[in-house]
Amino acid sequence: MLSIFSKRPCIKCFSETSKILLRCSSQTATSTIERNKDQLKRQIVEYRHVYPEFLPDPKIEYRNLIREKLERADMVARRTQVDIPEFYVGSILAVTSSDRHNPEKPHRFVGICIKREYCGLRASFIVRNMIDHQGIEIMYNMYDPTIHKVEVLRLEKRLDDELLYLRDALPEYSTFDSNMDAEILPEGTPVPINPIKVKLKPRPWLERWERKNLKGIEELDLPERFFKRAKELEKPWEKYDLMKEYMRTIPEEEQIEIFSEVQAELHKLEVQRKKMKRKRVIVKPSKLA
Amino acid sequence: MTKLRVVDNSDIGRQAMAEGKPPKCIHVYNRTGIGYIGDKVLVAIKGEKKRGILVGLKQNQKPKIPKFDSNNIVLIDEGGTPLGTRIHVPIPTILRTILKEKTQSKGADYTKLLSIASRFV
Amino acid sequence: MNQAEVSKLVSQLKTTVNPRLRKFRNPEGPEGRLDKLRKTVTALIKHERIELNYPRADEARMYAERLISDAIRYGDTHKTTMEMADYWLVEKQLIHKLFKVLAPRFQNYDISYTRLIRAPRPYPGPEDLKAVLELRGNPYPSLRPNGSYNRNLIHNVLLEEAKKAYRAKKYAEIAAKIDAVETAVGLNTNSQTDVPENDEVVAKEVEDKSTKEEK
Repeated sequence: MLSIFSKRPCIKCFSETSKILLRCSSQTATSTIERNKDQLKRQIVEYRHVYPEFLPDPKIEYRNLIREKLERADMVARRTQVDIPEFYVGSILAVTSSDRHNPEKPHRFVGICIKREYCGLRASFIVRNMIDHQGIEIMYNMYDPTIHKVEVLRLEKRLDDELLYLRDALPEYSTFDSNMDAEILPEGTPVPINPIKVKLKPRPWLERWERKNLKGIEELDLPERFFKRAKELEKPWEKYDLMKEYMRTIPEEEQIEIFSEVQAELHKLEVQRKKMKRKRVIVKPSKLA
Repeated sequence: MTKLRVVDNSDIGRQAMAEGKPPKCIHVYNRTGIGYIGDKVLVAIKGEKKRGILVGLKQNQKPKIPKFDSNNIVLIDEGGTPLGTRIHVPIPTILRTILKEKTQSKGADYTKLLSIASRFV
Repeated sequence: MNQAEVSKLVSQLKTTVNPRLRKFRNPEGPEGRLDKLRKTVTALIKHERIELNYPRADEARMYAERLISDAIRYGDTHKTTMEMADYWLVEKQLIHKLFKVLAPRFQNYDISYTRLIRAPRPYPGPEDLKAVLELRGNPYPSLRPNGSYNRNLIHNVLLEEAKKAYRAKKYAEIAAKIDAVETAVGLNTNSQTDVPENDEVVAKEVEDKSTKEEK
C-alpha cells in the first residue's frame, strides 16, 4: 500500500539487531552498571522503614503531588536544623522541647514510643511513661519547631505496629527511668526486635484487645465467649484482597521517585550524625577516667 | 457522673480514695458542661459537696499537652485555696497559663494550687 | 489510614486504578464479593478472553493485573505470593500457568497485561453494559478491526488517482501502437505477431505495479 509504511519494520529490525550487537560487545560493562543500579534501588527502597512519613497518604483523594513535594522540602529543611534520628514504635525516646508555659527551661520527657501517625509535616508520635505511678502520654509533632532534640535511648522494635495496649497493661511495662543513659548499638547491626510479652490488667479495658490479633501480649484470661465472639468478627478473607492491599501502599516505582529526590540530603545528615556519634563515643571514657 | 481521682493529700480526699469511693463529678463550672483541663468542677465526695480543679484528663489532648491515664482533681475551697498541702502526681504546665487567666477573670486565686505541685510535665 | 503501609512492596499497576472498589452486594458479604471476582479471574487466566458485564470486568481486571505483577515480581518461591495464587485461582492447574507461562510472557511488558474492550449489548434484552476482558498476547484473532488501511486517506486517494492516470497513459500508448500496426498491416503482413506480445508485456507490468502498491 504505502512505501513509507512498508519501510518501517525494516528500520525496526535494523535497530534491534544493532542493539543486540551493542549488547554483545559491552555486556559485562552494562551488567555491572545494572547491578549497581539495582543495589541503589534496594537501598532507596529500604528508606521506607526509617522515614515512613516521607511517603504520602495513599488515599487517592488526599494526594496532591505539588503539596507533597513542598512538604518534603520543608521536612528536609527542618531535619537539617534539628537531629531527628531513626526510631520505631517500641523505641525509648527522650524529647526535649521548649514550653510556652514554662519559658525558663526546656522540658524533657522520656518514654516509650507507642504510636507513629500521619505523614508529611503532620507526622507525629506518642511517647508514654509512668511518672509517680501516673501514666502520662504526650503526643509530639515530629516537625514541630519547638522541639530542641530527640534522643533515642534504646533503639528497638516490638512485635506489634502499635503499642496502645500499654495503657491497659501493668504499670511496670511502661515505666522508664527518666535519667536513663542512651544505649549505643554497634554500627551495622540490624534493629533488634524485643520479643517481650506484656501482661494486661483485668478488664475493663479501653479497647477489646482480644479481637486485635496482637502478638505482644500474654495469653488473656477471659471467658470463652470473648474468644468466640472475636472469632466471629474475624475477617480472614481481607488479607487476600489484593487491591485493598495495593491501595494501602505506595508502589515501589513511586517510592523510588520520592526517596531519590531527598536521598542526597538525608544521606548527608546520616553521615553527620554518625560523626557526632563517634565523637560522643570517644568522649565517654575520658569522662569516666 | 464521672469518677475522678483526688491527687492531693487533703484528709477527705485521701480517705475517699482509700475507701474505694472516689468522688463523682456533679457539675462543671463552664458553659458547655464538658470539663477540660483547668476547669472547676463540683464533686460529691463522702456525702459532701466540694469543689475541685481538673489537673489531668484521660481525653485526647493537643500536641505537647500530656494525656493522663486517669481524670485527676485537686480539691479547693471557695477562695481557690487547695485543701491539701501537696500534689503527688505531675501536673501539666499549661495549668500555669490557664489558672492565671482564670484567677484574673473570676476573682478567686487558683494559682496557690501551682505552688503545692511536686512536678510539672 | 494515615500512613502508607511499608511492610510489603508492590509494583505499580499499568492500568488505571479506580479510586474506590465496587461493593458487589450479595448475601455472603465482602467474602462473597471476593468469591465472585475469584471466579472471574480464574476464567480469565484459563480462557485468556472472556465476555462479561462491564463492572465485574473492570474490577476483575485490577485483581488479575495485581496477581500477575506479583507473580512476576516475587516468583513461585515466595510464600505469600503462592498463597495468593492458591486463593485467586480456583482451578489449581492454573497456578502452573500463572508462574510458568504468563509470568515469562509479561516479563518485559511496559503496558498493561490485560485489555478491556466494551462490547455491544444484546437488543432487545437486559440493559447491562457488556465488556470483553482478555490477556494480551493471546492466540485468538484480534477483536479490533485492522485500521492500517483506509482508502479515504489522502495519500491513498492520490495514489489511486496516480494509478488510474498511469493506466490511462499506458492504454493510450497501446492504442497508438495498435493503430500504427494496423496502418502498417496494409503494407506488411509479417509484422502481425508483434502486436499481442507487446500487449501482454504491458498488461503484466500494470499488474505487477498494482500488486506492489496493495502490499
